[in-house]
Amino acid sequence: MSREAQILRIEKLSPNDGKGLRTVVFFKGCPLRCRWCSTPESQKMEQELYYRQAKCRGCGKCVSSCPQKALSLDESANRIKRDDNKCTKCLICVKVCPSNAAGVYGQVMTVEQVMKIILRDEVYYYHSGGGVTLSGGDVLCQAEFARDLLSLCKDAGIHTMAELDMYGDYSRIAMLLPYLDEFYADIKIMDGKIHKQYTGVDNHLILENIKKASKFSRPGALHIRVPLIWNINDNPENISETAEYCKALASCEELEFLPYHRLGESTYEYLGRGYTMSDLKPMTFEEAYEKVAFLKNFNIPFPVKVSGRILN
Amino acid sequence: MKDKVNMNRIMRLKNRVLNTRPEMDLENALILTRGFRESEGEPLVVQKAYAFRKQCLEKTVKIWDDELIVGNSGSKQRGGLLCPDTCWSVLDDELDTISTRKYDPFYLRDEDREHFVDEIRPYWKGRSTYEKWLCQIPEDTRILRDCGVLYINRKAVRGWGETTAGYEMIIKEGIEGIKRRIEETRAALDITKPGHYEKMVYLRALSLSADGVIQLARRYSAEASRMAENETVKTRKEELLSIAEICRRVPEKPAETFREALQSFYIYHTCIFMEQNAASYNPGRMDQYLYPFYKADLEAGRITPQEAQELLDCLWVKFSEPCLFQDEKTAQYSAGYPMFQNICVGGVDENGMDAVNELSYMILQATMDVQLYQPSLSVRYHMVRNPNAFLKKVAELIKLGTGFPAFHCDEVGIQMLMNKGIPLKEAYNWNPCGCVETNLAGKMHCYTSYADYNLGSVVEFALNDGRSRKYGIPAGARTGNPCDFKSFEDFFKAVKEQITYIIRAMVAGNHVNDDICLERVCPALSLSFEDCITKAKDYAWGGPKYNVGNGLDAIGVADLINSVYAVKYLVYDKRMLSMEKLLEALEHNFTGFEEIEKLCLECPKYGNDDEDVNQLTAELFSFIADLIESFDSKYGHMTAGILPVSGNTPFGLEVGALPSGRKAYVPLADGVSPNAGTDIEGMGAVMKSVSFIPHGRFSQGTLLNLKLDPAFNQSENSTQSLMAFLKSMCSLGVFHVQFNVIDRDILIDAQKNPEKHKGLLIRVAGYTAYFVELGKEVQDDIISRTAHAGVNV
Repeated sequence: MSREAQILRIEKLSPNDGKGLRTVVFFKGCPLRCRWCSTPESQKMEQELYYRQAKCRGCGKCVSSCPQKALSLDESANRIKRDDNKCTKCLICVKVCPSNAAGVYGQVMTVEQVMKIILRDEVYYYHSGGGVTLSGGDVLCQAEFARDLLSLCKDAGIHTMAELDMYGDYSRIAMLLPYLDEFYADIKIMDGKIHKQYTGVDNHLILENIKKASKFSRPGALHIRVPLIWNINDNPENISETAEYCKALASCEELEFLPYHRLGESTYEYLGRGYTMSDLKPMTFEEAYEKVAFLKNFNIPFPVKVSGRILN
Repeated sequence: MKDKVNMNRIMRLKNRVLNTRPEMDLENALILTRGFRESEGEPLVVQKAYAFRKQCLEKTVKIWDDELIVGNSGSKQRGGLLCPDTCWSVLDDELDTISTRKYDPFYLRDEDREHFVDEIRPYWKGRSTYEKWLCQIPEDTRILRDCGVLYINRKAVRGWGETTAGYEMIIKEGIEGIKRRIEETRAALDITKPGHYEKMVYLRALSLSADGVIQLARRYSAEASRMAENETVKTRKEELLSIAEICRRVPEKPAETFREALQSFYIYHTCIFMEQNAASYNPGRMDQYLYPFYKADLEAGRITPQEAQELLDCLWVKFSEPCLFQDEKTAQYSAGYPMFQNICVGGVDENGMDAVNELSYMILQATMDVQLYQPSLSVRYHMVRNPNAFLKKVAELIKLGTGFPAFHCDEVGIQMLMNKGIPLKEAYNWNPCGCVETNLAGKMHCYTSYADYNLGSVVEFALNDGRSRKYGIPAGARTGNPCDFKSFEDFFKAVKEQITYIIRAMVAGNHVNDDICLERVCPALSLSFEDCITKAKDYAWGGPKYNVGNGLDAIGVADLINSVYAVKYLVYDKRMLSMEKLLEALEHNFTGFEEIEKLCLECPKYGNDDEDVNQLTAELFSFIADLIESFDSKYGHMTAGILPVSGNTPFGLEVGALPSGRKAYVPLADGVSPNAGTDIEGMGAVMKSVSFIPHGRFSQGTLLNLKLDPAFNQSENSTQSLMAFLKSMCSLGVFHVQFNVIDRDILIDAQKNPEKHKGLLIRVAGYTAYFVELGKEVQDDIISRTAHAGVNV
């Protein structure tokens, strides 16, 4: 029996997630709860129902089809309400919805199923120098699956990368390193307290794991990524502290800052959750660049980038 | 290039063209009519040549301000020409509306109207090709045409077109060289031998036409001299004097400089339009046949790269002057007066080696500089031979969002030519023609796109015992009640029978047309086909070295695949739906059958790299290629292509609801592209799916329109990504792609019509979403950050 995992989705031909054109496998489930998370549908490990009111015709088919009577039509607001205590996720509502307003995030897939999709794009990897990137959610939550998948990729001669939150037992990271040509480790905030406040977890373990991984991974494998969020981690102290931390690592290929965006905002609504960052504006490339530009004087021995562009 | 061209002149030229209202231009038709009258009693081909020469001698000759390259087929800068010997009724039907119709109006002046009514129409009534076609069209073919299954009248409405003249011979040898060839052929003839008189007649026609071209150029020379005398601005006076000098020499004499080569080319180019107005007279591989002149000039210090670029840019503006005159209905679906003058750069030379040179880049640059709808710019990209720097320049041009260039995989193009019966050595020299068809300059005779057939109707007929839903009459093969089909194989057999029936009817029509077209002689065009001269045989009679069976073009590729697959999947494999229920839902256009519609829409679709759908694609289109190639014609076996210019829209209006979930009477999918909104796996999956069509066998070309994922246009390294994508396409054996850059207008449309743009991705590092699934506010934000792109028509 082949190993299975909860997979959120598989994106093809991504030019932004590592070298060349890549297939990105998004894992579902994450121990962190970053408030700015743009992929909230990846946070919970289990399948989740969503509901897009804008697409709903209010036909009530789902209400009458629900065996648990978990759904009701709120006519004044013209929307379907779901009682999560009654819902058993039988997905009948998804099946009957004529307008695809109801849907589901996540599906269980085997290593072979995922691999088959990866192999379909070999021609693009070949010409672009691309390959596979595992992303999430959190890959480490389903590390055995990730290892099996990466091992098959290496057998097929496919370049491998992962985006790792580096939170959790180091053994799970160690399990993947032999099969990873490169990986991104995320650093959100250097200050432990603030980190906990905005992500729900302490950063001590993350920083320790990155340090360890920098010693044991292949040379040039480790990339550090920092999402730059207004008023949370965009101050010069945090930025310089992050840079100093990276300089002290045994190896670091690059440090990349990614400006905050709120493209995931609608997903919160579809999940019936609130988005707590709605007062923040997306950060432009120029704004992010300006915040980071002072690192030019830090004598950093590896490239510092903003959205893929090297500081100069 | 170090220094950019001074664009002031180019912008003035361009603006004048853009600001000139297209008019009907009947001077040409009037002279033709008088020429035929004056030469009555002569053989048809001599009459045609006599009238052509008369056009050259009498037409209005104009040189506009700022021009360096001169010439125009008509008397007005942007004129629509009428060829009454082919079809006069197309104007007759619209005499009162042509000036004001919504799509592609042509202003008709009173005096032109009078000429038409008093002189042109009375002479040609009963003599035009179109009338002959309407009289002789086979009955089955007529019914299919009238039910919107075939689009088959067009070749009887316009001139030949769809050809690449032997410009290189004109430029290199001059008309005087061609006259020598005519004399050589004549010298070997003996009037007492059977068939030789016919040839002598033909050579007389060629000589008349050759003389016409020379006289026309001399008239431009004289006009330039006259204008120079009255010109007070010194620089312009000098320019006019050099125009006079150049037109005194070419195209009569062999061109000696780059500028003479351009001028020689253009005079002859306008001549073949004058002879027979049609779309798709293709300049072809300009970077090859012009290069020796450029190189020699450069080495001799006669020209700088900037001067050469300016000349090219000037010529580029000229290409947008002529306006295709077509009937209102056709114009509605292919608006923009499309002339399809296809110019090509890149590829390999006759030894199979890299053919890219400085001129290839300068031609790409000319399109970047001028940014007009014409000429159509194509790239032949040979993955092994052509340099990366060339591909990079191409990628940058694609990202500009003008829709140019059309990108072609060179290896597949070469395959296509070989599949037309051309030896490899000559196939190396192929060029794109019109839209995406394949051609061979100065050597090939063929209608690359003779007629279109509707694959949506195929499915409708297979599910309706050959009846058209819209017209309620039997039009296809009687394949029986689909409820009696026991298995998918039975249904599939019915589909194949319908395709066979339709193709047979097209071939029948083709053979009638081939016969009628024997009278559509074109000696001026034939001047640049070497074999027409040595054999003393007109282009219309099969004079060129290679004669190829005409092209039959499929429309509704994705509709066919998705519909056949939906029936297989829902009715037979998964048994989720009975045939009765499906037929009922289709009959009602899914109204009241929303659940069935949902089932149909959610079936795996072409364009998502689905294994089973891919397999069906390969099977269906190998069957169609086999079928078409099995039919012979006067000029060799028939040839297949997939290139609806925009025929998918009118064809869609003829077809009821389909099992793919497509509603009744809406457009079909274009080219080999997926149905709008059904490709949700991105452009990589589209390309993979498309690669299961056997492109090399659709030797009249296949056309893929692809929305350029914004990540391949905007982000860092996007040029590299796009280059890798294009190389992958070549590895996959896909022939052609043309990109729509996602601009603001497309995003706004996606906001309004999300179902049409389901696959549109928004990506940043670590994040991807479908645009249509984002909230309005976020969408608005993305829209506000996206630039307009566009091209002037």
